[in-house]
Amino acid sequence: MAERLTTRLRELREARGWTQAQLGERIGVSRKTINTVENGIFIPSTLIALKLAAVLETSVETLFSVAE
Amino acid sequence: MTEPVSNVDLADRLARRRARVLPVLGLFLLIQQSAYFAHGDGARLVDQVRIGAWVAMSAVILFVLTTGGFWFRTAPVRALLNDEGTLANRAAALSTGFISAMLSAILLYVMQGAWEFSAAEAIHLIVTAGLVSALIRFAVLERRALG
Repeated sequence: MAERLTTRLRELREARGWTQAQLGERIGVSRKTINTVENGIFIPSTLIALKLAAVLETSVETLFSVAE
Repeated sequence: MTEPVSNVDLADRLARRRARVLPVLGLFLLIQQSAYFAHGDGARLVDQVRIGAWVAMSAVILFVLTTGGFWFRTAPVRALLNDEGTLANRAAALSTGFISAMLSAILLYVMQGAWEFSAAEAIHLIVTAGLVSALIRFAVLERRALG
């Protein structure tokens, strides 16, 4: 069965009132990369996942999960 | 007074511009290709200039595809323009370009008995197939990512 990555990134970002560009600015990536992660188009590296979790003050496991 | 543009916003604008311009570059390359086959590789100065322009344009496109372009922007903006997501798109585009070039080379090898062509013509076709397909793939992936 195909596995896919699901993310709560948009929900957690919007809870803080940040735009994609503002979140990108905080972790040093483009708005485009934030957009692709939120839409499940792009699976980020461990480095980006850790940076996202840190800036959103959550864990990587809360931010990302594997769905079947 | 205009507000200063952040690096992320500037990178976003430039990425959009890149996604718009790259297919146009591919179209120019195709037009140059058709001009080459229409007029041949004559020894006239105008032909030499045309061939030189095609070589220069191919080299520039290859350089843009492998480096991401925007060489004269500041380092932080270039880093955003070549971040993880863009590198993944570029890798996918270069892979498509390589496969297209190989397929066109195989096709030309198979066709050599049925259609007479010079080595220069074969190189033109292989390079154009590789570059144009890579440009189109990169532009499609970037536009999808930009949303």
